[in-house]
Amino acid sequence: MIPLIREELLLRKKWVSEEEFLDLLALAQSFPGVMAVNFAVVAGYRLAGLPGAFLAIGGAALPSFLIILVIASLFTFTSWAQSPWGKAFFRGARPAVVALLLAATYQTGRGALKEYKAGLICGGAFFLLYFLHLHPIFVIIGAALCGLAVYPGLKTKSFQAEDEDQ
Amino acid sequence: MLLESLFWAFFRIGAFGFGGGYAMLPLIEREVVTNHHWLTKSEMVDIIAISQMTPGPIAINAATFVGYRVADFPGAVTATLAVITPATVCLLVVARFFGSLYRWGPCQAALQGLRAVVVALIALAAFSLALTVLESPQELLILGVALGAAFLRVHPVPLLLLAGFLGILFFAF
Repeated sequence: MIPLIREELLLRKKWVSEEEFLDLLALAQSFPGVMAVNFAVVAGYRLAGLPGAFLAIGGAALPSFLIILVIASLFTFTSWAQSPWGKAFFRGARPAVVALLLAATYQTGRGALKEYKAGLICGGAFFLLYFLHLHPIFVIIGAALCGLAVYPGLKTKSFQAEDEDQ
Repeated sequence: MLLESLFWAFFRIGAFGFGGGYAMLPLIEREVVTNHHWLTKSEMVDIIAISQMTPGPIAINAATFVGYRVADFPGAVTATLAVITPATVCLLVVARFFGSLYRWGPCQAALQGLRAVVVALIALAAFSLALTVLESPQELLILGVALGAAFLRVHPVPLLLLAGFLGILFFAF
């Protein structure tokens, strides 16, 4: 998704500079919810104020909304998904979803758990979620508070620091 | 009222879902499967499969699908708007008044904690769904093949189509 956004806004339309793009991206990723929509909000607002933000949200959300609407109505009104072949297809696809999630666990883990504090937060969170069935909302809030507690010396990030990351 | 509980369920998912679609799955499962029984767990896995084969973010796909399932078109609109409302409102306020608040040290520290919990949330989704999905040796075989393909960075669309094809071979006859 990110390379696509970059291509469109930065390279084709030249609406934002590289620096601005990284800034907007970091802002969009610092918030919960749907990253593509978040990016649409901040980029739309930066470029054309409130109307820009709302039009960009529509642009980011409508295609998937409409596609799923069609698929959902097919699921309800016709029986192809309930046919033996349709059922077998989804029964085969389900283990692949688990595989995608396991691969994503490994990939995000390799990026996010580079030191032991992050590993402890992650391990503790998994224990609370999986074994004690705690509500994810509490664990998410708890992890943010743990971050505050264990990374107290973190410096305010600047553009220069972001450039060095590249 | 149905639309109201649909709205608040997806509002909570949108307000606390950090770290992308996969990391939001435990929240979605909690609201949609455990609390409200709008979907079974295998239906939820099917929606993930569908949303990986179509463009667009998982959270929007799930909101539209569940909303439509529960309360037709009004439900689809309600749930989809609900999932994007919290971040949109916050971001508009932030974009207006505190452009670079997120770069402030303590914000970065909290985000660091969130980045760590995202891994646990994705792992939880994987384990929890694996328990419902893996019913027979054939499914374990598909899991193995798909896992290999995922680590070789095969794109999710051909990967899921291949798995679905294997499913037809194993289970349709």
